[in-house]
Amino acid sequence: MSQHRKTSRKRQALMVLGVLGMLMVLGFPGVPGDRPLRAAEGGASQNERVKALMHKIDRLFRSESSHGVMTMAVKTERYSRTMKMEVWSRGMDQSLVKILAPKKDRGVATLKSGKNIWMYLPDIDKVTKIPSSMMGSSWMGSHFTNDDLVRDSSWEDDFTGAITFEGDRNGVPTIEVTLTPKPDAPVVWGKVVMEIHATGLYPLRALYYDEEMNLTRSMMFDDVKDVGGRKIPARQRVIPADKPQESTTIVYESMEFDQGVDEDMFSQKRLRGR
Amino acid sequence: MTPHHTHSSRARMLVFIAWRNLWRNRFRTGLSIAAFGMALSMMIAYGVFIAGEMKQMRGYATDLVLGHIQLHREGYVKDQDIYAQIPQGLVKEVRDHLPPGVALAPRTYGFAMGSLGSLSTGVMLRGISPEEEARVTKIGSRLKSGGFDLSKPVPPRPGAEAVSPRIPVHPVLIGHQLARTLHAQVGDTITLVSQSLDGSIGRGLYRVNGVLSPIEITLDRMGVVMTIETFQELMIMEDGVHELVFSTPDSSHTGPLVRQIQQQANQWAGTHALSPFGGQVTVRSWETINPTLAQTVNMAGTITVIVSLLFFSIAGIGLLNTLLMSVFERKKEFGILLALGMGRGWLVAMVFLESIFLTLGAALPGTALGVYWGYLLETYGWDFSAYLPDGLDFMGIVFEPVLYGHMTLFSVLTPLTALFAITLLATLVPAWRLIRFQPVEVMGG
Repeated sequence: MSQHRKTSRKRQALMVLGVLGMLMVLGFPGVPGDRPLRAAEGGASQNERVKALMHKIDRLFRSESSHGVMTMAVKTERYSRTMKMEVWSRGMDQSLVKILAPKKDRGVATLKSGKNIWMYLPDIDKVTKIPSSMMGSSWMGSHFTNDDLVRDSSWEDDFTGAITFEGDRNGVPTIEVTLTPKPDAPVVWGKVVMEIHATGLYPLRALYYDEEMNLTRSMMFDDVKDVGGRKIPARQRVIPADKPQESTTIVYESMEFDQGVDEDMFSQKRLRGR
Repeated sequence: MTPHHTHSSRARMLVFIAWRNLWRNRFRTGLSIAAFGMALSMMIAYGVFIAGEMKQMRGYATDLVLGHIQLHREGYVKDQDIYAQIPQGLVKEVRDHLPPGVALAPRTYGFAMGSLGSLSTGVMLRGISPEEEARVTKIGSRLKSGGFDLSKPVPPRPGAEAVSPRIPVHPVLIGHQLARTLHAQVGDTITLVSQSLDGSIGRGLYRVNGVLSPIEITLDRMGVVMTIETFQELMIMEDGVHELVFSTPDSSHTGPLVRQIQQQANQWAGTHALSPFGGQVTVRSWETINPTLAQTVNMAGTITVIVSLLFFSIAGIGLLNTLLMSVFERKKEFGILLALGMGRGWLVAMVFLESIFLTLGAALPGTALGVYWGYLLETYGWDFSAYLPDGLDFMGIVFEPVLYGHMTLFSVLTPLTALFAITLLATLVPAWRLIRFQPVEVMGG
C-alpha cells in the first residue's frame, strides 16, 4: 500500500535526451554547428571522434534560451491522452512548461529551477513544490519522471563511449555508440546504446540499460525537419521496456532558439500571477 | 477390624501425620509456600497480561483496521492497482444480501501529493463511507483532535493561510504524523495533487476536519481520509471501490461467511462482466490478510502454558530439594515405620500428601493474590506511555501504550495446573528413593 506503482519506480532511473534538451536548455553561447565534429573526423583516435559526436549531440537541443510549443501524447494500458504545452527555457537550470490543452488542465504549469520543481494549479490558485519523495513519480501521467526533468548530465562529460557499429542499418547510414557512465557521473543507468545518423549527425534511437544491464526503455527519434532554424528530429518517442505497448511521444510544433527569454519568467511569483 | 476399616483409619492417620510433618519445620515450609504462592500469583498475572495484550491486539486489528473479512480484486491485493476496482453492482449485490448482524463498509485507496504552505509530501488517500465505516470499525472514535464528521468542512482556523471563497473545499481527516510533517492543524486547508485515473492532474483544496490518533503506520504517516464521493471527484474514478470490509458478531468463526461472500461474488461475476483489469474477486479473513498478527494472537495460550511450565520447572527444582531433604532427614523414622509393618505404598502416599498440602498451601493465597493482580491489570491497565509515547507498532498496526489484562478461566487454571503437575513430578524422586529404603540400613545409618 505504501509504495507507488513499481513501474514509476523503474522510470526514476532514467533520463531522456530530447526532452531534457528542450526543457532545460544548456546555456552554451550559440551552437557552433558541426565544427567540433569536423575536427574530430580528421583526428586519428576513435576516442576523439566519439567525444566530438557526443559534443554535437549535447548541443543539438540545447541553447541559451528557447520558447516553443509541443504536444505530448501518452499511451498507457489504461488511458491515452494528448497534451499541448508551451515551453520556455533559460540556461540549463530554468524551464517552464504550461499546459494549453486539454481544457481541464489548461494553465497547469511546471516550473523547474535548479533541482526543484513547482507546480502551479490555476483553478485552486496554489503553487506546490514536488517533494523529494515524489521525484520518481510520473510527470503529468507520462513515462517521464519528475526526476527526468531535473537530472542534468552531458553525454560528452559524463560518459565514455566507443563506436560499436558503423555502416548501413535498415538502409540508414548509422553510427552506433555505446556509452558507459564515468564513475562519479550523476547518472543512474548502466549503459546507453545510441544510434546516430552518420551524415545527419542526429540521434535515431537510444537504448537505456539499468545497472544490471537490463533494457529499461528505448527512445526513438524521427521526423527530422527544420525546427527554429535547426535540423532536428521533431518527434521523440519513449517506450518502457517492461510495457512495450505503452509510449509517450513528444512532437515539436514550433520552437525558437536564442531569441531571449526574460529571467523573471521563472519566478514563483510570475508562476502564480500568470 | 475389617480391612476396610483399617484402610480408612490409616488413611486418616496418614493425612494427619502428613499435615503435621509439614509443620515440623515451619520455617522451611513457610518459605516454600511463600515462594510457590508468589510464583503462582505472578504466573496468573502474567497470563492475564498476555491474554489482555492479545485480545487488545486482535481488537485493534479487527475493530480499527482490518475488520473481520475483506473483499478485493486480486490485482489490488497484489499491486495495489487502483484500476482493480470492485464494481458498484457487486457492492450492491453483497450489501443487499448481508446475513443478519454482519456490517459492510466500502473503501477506496490512492496516492497523491499533499502540501500546506511551503511543505509537501506524498500522501495515501483513503475514501470511506462514514456511516458504514462507523458500523464496521471504530476509526471514528480515534481522533487526536477535531471530529469525525465529514459532511462539511469546519471553518478555517484563525491565522490559517487564506483560501478564496469561490474555490470549493472538501473535508478530510489526516494522520497524526502527517499533520506533524505538514505542520497542519484542524482548520487548515491542504492542497492535494494526484494523477487521476484518466491520466489528468487531479487537484483540490481540503480542510483538515480532524487529526487521527495513530492506528496504522501508513495511515498515521501519510493517510488522508475523505468520503468516497470526494475521492472519486479527485481521482476521476467513476464507479466502484477498492475494498469492502465486513464485521461479523461471530468473529472467531469467519470461515463460513468468507465462503458465502466469495460464492456470492463469483455468482455475480459469472453473470456480469468484471472490468478487464484487476483479476478475480477474492474474499479473505483478517487472519489471512495479516497472518503474522493472527498467529501471534493465537499463540497467546501456548505462550502462557510454555512460560508457566518453564517457570514452575525452576521452582520445581527448589521443591525437589526441599522434599528430598525432608525425606532423608526422616530416614530413621521411615525405617521404624517400615519395621513396624507400614506398607511402602503408604509411605509414598504420605510424601505425596505432604507435597500436595504444600502446594495447596501455596495455591490458595497464590491464586487469590494472582487474581487480585489480574483484576488490577484488567481494571487499570499497565501504562507504558512513559517509554512508548506514540504507542507500540507491530505488523503495521499501532497499539496503545496502555496495556490491559484480560482474565479468563484459562489464564488462572493454566498456571495452577502447571504448578500441581510440576510438584507431583518433583515428588516422584523422593518417593522412588523411599521405595528403595531398607529398614535395617536406614535405622542403622
